[in-house]
Formats: sequence, structure tokens, C-alpha cells
Amino acid sequence: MTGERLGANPAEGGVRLGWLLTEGKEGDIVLSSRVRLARNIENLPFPQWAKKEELKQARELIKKAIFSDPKLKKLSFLLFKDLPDLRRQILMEEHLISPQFGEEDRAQALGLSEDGALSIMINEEDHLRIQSLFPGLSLFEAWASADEIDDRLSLKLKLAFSEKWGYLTVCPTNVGTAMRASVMMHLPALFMSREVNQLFGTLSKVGMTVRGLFGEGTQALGNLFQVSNQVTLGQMEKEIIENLKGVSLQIVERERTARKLLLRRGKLKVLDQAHRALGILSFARIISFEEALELLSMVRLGVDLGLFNQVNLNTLNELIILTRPAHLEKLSRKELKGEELDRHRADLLREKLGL
Amino acid sequence: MFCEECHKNLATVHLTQMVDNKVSKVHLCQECAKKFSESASFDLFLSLPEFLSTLFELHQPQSPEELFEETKTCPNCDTSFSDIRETGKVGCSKCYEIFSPKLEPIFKKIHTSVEHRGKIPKSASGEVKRKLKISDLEQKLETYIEKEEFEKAAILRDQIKNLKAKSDIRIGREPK
Repeated sequence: MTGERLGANPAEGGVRLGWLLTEGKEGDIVLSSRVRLARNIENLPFPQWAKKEELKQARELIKKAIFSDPKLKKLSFLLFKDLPDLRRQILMEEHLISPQFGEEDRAQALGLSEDGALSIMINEEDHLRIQSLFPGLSLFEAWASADEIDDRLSLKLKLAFSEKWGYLTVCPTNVGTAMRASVMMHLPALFMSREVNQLFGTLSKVGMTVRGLFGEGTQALGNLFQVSNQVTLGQMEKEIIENLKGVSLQIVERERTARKLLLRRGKLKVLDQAHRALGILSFARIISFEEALELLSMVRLGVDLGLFNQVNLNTLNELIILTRPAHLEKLSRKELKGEELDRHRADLLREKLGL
Repeated sequence: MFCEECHKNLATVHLTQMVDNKVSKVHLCQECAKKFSESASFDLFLSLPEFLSTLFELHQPQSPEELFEETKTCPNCDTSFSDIRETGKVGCSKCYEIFSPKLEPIFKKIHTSVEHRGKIPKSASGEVKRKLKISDLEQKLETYIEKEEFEKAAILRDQIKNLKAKSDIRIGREPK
């Protein structure tokens, strides 16, 4: 099984953070761009309503399609049983699978590229979900990659599609292109100047929406926001991508302006906050994930503003993921609870920030 | 800074919450943060299923006939429209055909348009591809006419005519 490549021991599963460790376009503000396509198999009940046998049938059909394609068969293919709890949490923390994926054995499976740029989830909400994840503002690249995978699979699978409504999905909110494109952005200055409220209000008017760090129904931590398209029916994929790109660039510009204003009005205060944040991160002995993320956000702002240069942006990107519980457990090779987690997190931060 | 909830412990958890697309900060101690996240009031974003269920509620069955309609199930997957209404989730691709008149008004509310204009599966028949190509070209034709770019419009009109003729031949109709 190709899944072996990731290491049979979940504690050794490689970290696939390619999308966070290379600096992309507008990389100071945009962390990543993601495109997700939902697909279903014609006439098979959707996962939510399907019997175990039908779920297996869907999985086998998709698996066959993956393995008969010269490019896709190179992916690591993992069955539910290859995904013990910790492994699953790690993939979730890396944004490679959704929080709902693999909570119980519903014949799920996962295809994964080595760098994490591509993942294929089988039997999540829909039979098939194709995701591509790219660094910085690279929506067109992410779309091209997901589009290609979709084309390859659709040659081998009879997909649920209607002339009128496009790709048919479990949730009527996804029907049409069944595409969700999203951009993860770090917007501390817009948040501090309270401009985000107004901004997000206008987004819904142009068919876009804002979510927290882990997608739907999650909180916005560390000034990280995900902007994505809400409307999926009636527009072409490229139009949606083009619109989202335009909106993202505008937000980037507004964030830059807000940062300039912030510096002009109170450079000393920003300087103080960024240094204090770095101070706490460098000396704390216990720290919660939420606090770490908020402080990392301030340090990041400091780096972006050129206030100090001893910290590397990639290290900060990496820490957003490595300070999460499953990653800390993996690093320490043991189960961690409550304060132990907070202690290991503080240790890691001190070590990584090199102080 | 003290916790905004109990005002006793130091606030170590700083949450950003979003209600109705408005963002605000909450400063809590570890204990209160836990309670806070467990309580139902911690709905930071109106999730899509909730949003959907409000839409479905707008279309509650009224008459006995409508109620009877609700219990009809999809022959392919056995899902009824009331199942879909309750969960906000459709049963299978066939459901979309069967419950199409009921789903359409909901699509209109969510997406503003009800015509797919995006990509088509590689495995789709030539006929489907042609139809969608025609509707796409027709839309472009309209914009050219609006902009009074008649030369471009004429080229498109010919293309559409050709495509339509091909379709007619395929389904055994005399081309017009």
C-alpha cells in the first residue's frame, strides 16, 4: 500500500506543510489559497443516507478510478483504518481533511500528495471531495490543479450532473460548480481599526463569505480569516475565482493601508505590542493555543512592518500548525493533557523562536 | 486583564467572535472559555445547515395535498422531501429530478440564479456539452447586442445556428 510512505507509525507521519513553507504571492498577508470541488456518483445514495454497502461501493469505484490514472495512482492512499485518531487530527490541523472526516468508519478513504498540495476525500459529506492548497494568493493555480484532477476522475466515473443545475451535491448550497474557493488572510490592522466589520458586511453582497480558521462554524483566531465564495450556481468557475481574487487583492490593499495608518498614528504602541508578544512567546512556560496564536499574530505584524528581523516569516507560518494539540503530541511522542499541552507548546515556541 | 465573564481570574484566552458578520473580542479565563465554548450561545457563524433550515421553513407544507406530497419518497434512495427539509441534505442525484419543483425556489434564494454555467464532466454526452455551449453563447450574444457590437454578434449567431443544426440532426429532427 502506498500509504506506507507516510510512515506506518502515526507518530512519524510526515508533516506536509509545503503550502505554508513556501512564500507565495502577497505572502505577507495571504497565507494560502484553496479550491475544493464536491462530486458525487450518479444514482448512488449520498453518504449521509447510504448504507454501509453503498458507501463501500462508492469508495471502490473512486479508488479504481484513482488507481487507473497514471498521475493519481502516485498519491498515498489511506483507508479509514490507516487513520487512527492522532493521524486524523494531524491531517485536520494541517487543513488537509475536514474536521468531520473519519470520525467513524463510514468507508472513508483519502488520497494525498506528498506535499499536501492535493487531497482527495472519499465519503465525506459528498462521495468525492477534491482539494488543492497553494501558498499565498494563487487561486488560479489551485483551480487549475483541482480542475485537472476532476477531469481525470470524471473520465472514469459517472458523476451526478444535471444540465440545468450542474454538479449535484448533498447540500443544496453547493450545487452548480460545487466549488468552494477560499483565501486565508492575516488581517490584524483591519481588525484593530474595526474596519473588518464594514468590510465583511459588504462581502456578503457580492456572494462571498468570511469564516474562521477551520472553516464553517469556527472562530476567527489570531486575526486569521478565510474569505470564500458563497454562490456556486449561475457563475462559471473562472468568474468565481476571478471575483474572489479581486476581492482578496482589495482586502490586501486595505490591510496595507490600515497598517500604514497604524504606524503613523502610534508607532510606539505597535512596537510595544509586537515586542511584548515576542517577549511572552520567548519566555512563557505554559501557554494556550489561543493565546499563542494571538501573540504570533502580533509578532507577524511586527515582522511584516520591519520592526524586527530576527524572526523568519516561515517559522511563524509553521508555528500556526505545530502549536496545535495533535502536532505537539506527535513531537513529544506521548499523549498530552491540559497543562502538559500548554507546557510543551511553550517549550516549542521558545525553541523555535531561538531565544 | 481580568476575565470578562467571572471577573475573578486573569484572562488568558482571547477570542475573536463574529456575529452577523460583525467582529468583536472576548477576553476570558481558561475556565470560562471552556464553558463559553460548550454553551450553545457560542455560535460564531450561522452555519450553512442552519441557514438552509430557515429557508426550508419558509416553504412549509400548508394543505393536506402538500402534506401528502411531503411523504412521497425518491424511488432510488427512499428519501422523502420532509427528510431533506429536516436535514438540509439531499438523498441522491435522482432526488434532484423528483423534488425539482420544490428545490428550485430554494436555489433561487441561495444562489440568485438557477442555471449552471460552469464546467461539464468529461464523461457527459456530446449532446449535453452542445446544449450548454449553446446557452453560453446565447448569453454572450446578448451582451454583444447590448453593447451594439453587431459584427461580433453576427459571428456568434452563426455559431449558435450551426450547433443547433447539429443537435437537430442527432435527435433525428429535420434541421431548420
